[in-house]
Amino acid sequence: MSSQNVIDRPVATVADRDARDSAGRRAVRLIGRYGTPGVFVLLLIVFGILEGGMFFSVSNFVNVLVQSVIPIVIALGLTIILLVGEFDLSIGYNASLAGVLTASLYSGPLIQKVLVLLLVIAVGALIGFLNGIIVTKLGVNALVATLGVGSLVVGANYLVTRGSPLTLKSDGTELTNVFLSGIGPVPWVIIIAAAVAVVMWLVLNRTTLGLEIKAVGGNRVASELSGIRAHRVIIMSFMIGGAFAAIGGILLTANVGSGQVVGGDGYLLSSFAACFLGSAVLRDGEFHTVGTVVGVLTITIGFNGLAIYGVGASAQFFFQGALLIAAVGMSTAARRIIMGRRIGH
Amino acid sequence: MTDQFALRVTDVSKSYGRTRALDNLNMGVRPGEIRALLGANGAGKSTLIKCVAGIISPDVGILEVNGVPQTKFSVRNAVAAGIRVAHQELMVVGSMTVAENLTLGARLSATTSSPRQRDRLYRELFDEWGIPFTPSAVMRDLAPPIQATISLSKALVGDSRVLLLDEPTGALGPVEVEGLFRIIRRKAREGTAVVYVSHRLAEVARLCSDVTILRSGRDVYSGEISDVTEDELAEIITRDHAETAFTGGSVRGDAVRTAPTLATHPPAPSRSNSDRVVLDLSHLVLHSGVKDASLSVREGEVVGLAGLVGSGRSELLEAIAGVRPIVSGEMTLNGVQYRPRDPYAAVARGIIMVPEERAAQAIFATRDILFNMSTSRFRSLGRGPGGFFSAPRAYADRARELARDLGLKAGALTDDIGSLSGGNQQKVILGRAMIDGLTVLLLDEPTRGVDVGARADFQRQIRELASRGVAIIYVASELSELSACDRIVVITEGRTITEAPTGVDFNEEKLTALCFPRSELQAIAANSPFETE
Repeated sequence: MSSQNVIDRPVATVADRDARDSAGRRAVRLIGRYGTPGVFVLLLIVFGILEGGMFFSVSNFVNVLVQSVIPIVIALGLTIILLVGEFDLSIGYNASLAGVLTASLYSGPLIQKVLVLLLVIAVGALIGFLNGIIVTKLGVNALVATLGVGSLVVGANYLVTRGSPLTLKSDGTELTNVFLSGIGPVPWVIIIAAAVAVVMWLVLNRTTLGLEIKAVGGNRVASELSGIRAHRVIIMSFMIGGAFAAIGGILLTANVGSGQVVGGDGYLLSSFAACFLGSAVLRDGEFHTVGTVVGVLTITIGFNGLAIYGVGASAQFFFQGALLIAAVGMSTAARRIIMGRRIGH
Repeated sequence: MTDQFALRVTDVSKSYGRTRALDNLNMGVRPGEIRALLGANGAGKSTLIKCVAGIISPDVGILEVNGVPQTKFSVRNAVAAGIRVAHQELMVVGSMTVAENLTLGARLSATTSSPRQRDRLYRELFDEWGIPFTPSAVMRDLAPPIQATISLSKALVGDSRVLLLDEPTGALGPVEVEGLFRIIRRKAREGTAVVYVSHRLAEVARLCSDVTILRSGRDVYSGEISDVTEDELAEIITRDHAETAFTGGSVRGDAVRTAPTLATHPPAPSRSNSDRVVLDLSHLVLHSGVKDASLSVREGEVVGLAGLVGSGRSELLEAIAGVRPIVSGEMTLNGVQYRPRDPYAAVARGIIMVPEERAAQAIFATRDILFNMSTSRFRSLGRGPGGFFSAPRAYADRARELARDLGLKAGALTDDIGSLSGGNQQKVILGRAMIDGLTVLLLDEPTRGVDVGARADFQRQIRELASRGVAIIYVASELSELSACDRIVVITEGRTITEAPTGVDFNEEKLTALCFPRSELQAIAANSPFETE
């Protein structure tokens, strides 16, 4: 029994450690851990004061959540790819292709429609598979590989669309209804996004694959020497990320009723922004599900509040850039101060 | 009196969170003195060096260089004050040439103003060292010991008031070590105050004039080296070893001293009296490093692999572990042909490697102890088809069991891996390697950076594993560590050439001589670097 005690009990808790630190270091540590949620709450307060009832209404909150759905789904896919230590610049193009494929194929009896959606998601996963193969088997840097694959995907997109948007067939109303109807004031699409987030959380936190992804992302060599098949894990991550991008693309078409040629492209930047914002939430510098969702919501609320306030698109993008740099910069700098090192980091 | 010290540290303290790395430390080094700085892992040596080097600033206390208290702590100021530091880690850029590497940071070094002068100084230094100076060679093409000398040379070149060397001989061969000692002695004669950090007590006894020993961030012994024997030094360093192994004074008396028992497994007959060959290598050739290696390991046998750095010993282990493909030759495992496609295939057959570079190849730095211990059994202990779902409780149960068996000194399984000392980190890695169905364990320099006390502990664990039938190949640069092996195989220039006696017949000098390739032996004879004292 006593030997169990060797490691069972924590020697000192986080609270103990914080108690021993000076007030200044405590403040720095808090900024490091809670920077992004802090900005999140701050935005709520500022917009609440500036815009009052208009901002703090049920309909506006539903509106914010609906606007967040597509970026949440795509950014969650990117989260898993970043967590395994890779990059994916093709997710936006992947979402666009999924959007136009959905618009051109979604028709006929229900079973056919379901098969079409599954096919579109499979195409997204296939694009991820291609990324994964090029990155692992050919050893091409992920930035280059996914940029190249992204270009191939754009080519495929033009092959389908010939450059002009495709309208969803007239019998595609179930799809558009996910945005228009739901349970009470909550549209189906919010429930879908919540389900997608839960699935991602389960994959990362309850499956062996999730652990292997963290291991490969943490130290590739050490993971392989432990008997983890890093190539497979990386390919799987790219496939899941690609599938999520495709789901985002399907929702995009459901939202606007047509497949826009470049409809999903813009989500690349905001997804990266959301993931990195999220990495500054609660856990130091690690990508995770909750963080990414908070990251997307923070950006959307900022955009939403600014839009209600009546500022233009330029200000919104200035906001996104500044927010990303501020939140991630603050938490990174805070960590460095805590580590007490002056060189490297 | 104070003015006599080139470097003086007075009541310096430094804390990292809850860990007190330096605790009212005092030390003085006079010009011309070579002072050994000794201590177990986590005793505070590295922290002290970082303070002196200006990388971190002490929380309180005074640090004087030639009587001048240092106020602003930066690398630049430290260099300006005449402090030169050779860090333990290799500081080279593999893709650049030697000359380019030496230019890095030269801006900080006041003595080397012009490129031509710099070139001359380095030439003189390497002449003295007895190593050819090849400024246009690309770094990664050079043998690791030569790379290490180039990394070290940046601290040794030119004049300095204080020279700090942190484990400088770790990656060096005997020839380079002798040259280094010659340079250090010369610099001391010229008035430099030298601080020499090492785990190798024999080296310390040979080189140093004085000694300071740290324990838990305090200086517990200071005096002339001639007043103490090597055994006494080891005794002071490891006294209350358990205490120093814990960070932040978080000792919990009785539980800490639990002896490693491995009680969960029935003890197999001791020593290797089995004749069953588990792993057999015959005339193995790899793309690089290994030209002709033959070796066999029996059940329960610990085979030492003796060789210099660059002899092909690591490459050989990597081939067995599935990291490197085989060009020709045969490997058999339990009599069946064995050709692992990747490390996964090796681990699936119970063959696993503890790699040489702990930080780069083994540690998941951002994860806790539990994660670090479990990476090899994520899937095997997982639930559902193919171990699809993770099993946190099963991982924790197994890790707790292993931690108890290995005598791991840790706070909680959820503590950061970085909170552990080197020796305890290595126990975590060993725990990771103790997978179900372990048949062959490959250990590449498992005790590097592990202090004397933990080292003995670690070797006991290895012997325990062998007694359970595991076949073990053990690589160590410090050849004396191999004396406890059942057999020793010597590898030189990628070829296994002979076996050497172990146990009572073990002879370190003879083994060292065997390890040298012919060409290098001639070089030694020509330069005769073994100066007589």
